[in-house]
Amino acid sequence: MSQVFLAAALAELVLTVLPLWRLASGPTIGDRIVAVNLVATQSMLAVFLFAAAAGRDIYLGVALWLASFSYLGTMLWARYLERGLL
Amino acid sequence: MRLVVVAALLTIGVGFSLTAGLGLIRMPDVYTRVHSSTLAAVLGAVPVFLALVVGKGPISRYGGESLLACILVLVFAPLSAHALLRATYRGRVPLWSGAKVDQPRDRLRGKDSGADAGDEPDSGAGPEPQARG
Repeated sequence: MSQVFLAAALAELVLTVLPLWRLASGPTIGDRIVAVNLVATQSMLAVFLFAAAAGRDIYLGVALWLASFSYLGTMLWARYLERGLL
Repeated sequence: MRLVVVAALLTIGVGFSLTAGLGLIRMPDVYTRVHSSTLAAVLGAVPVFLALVVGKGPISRYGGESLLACILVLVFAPLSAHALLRATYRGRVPLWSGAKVDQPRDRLRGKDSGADAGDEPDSGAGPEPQARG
């Protein structure tokens, strides 16, 4: 079971390359923000799967932090882009 | 049996994550990119959480925090994508040149100082009040 979780975590980490490419070469600022959001989502899934594979539930706090604060960061960026102030 | 279910759910989740990355790269426009990547990211996150719940049991810490993170993702991913696209559209980012319709143009751009944007006095819409035609 833990090998399956480890393989899925590594697959999610490899798939992070695609939004990182969009982050490097995005034409507008919205592309870069959504690329950061996708990187955060995939790395959150990778941390969850690695915690389940390694059997250490103390890593789950990191994953929950990523899950909550990445979307909060995206909303703050959107508010800043729309109004010019936070 | 449980291993088969977990492997199938993880395969579905990783496949949708791959779809999200490919959509983020291949789509021609910031709006279509946000659409494809957010939708497929949510669809890729939920089976992974279900696989954790099935594999580790719903009573364990893994299962419980997976369900909590699943609720967080399901609530906040559409919310943040909507806020980001609204800000992008108000920032006059052009659509793809092959786009056929531009539905929110009248509602967001035409009457910028209407009831839609009531709480911002400096939205740059000019001083003309309610001159809709």
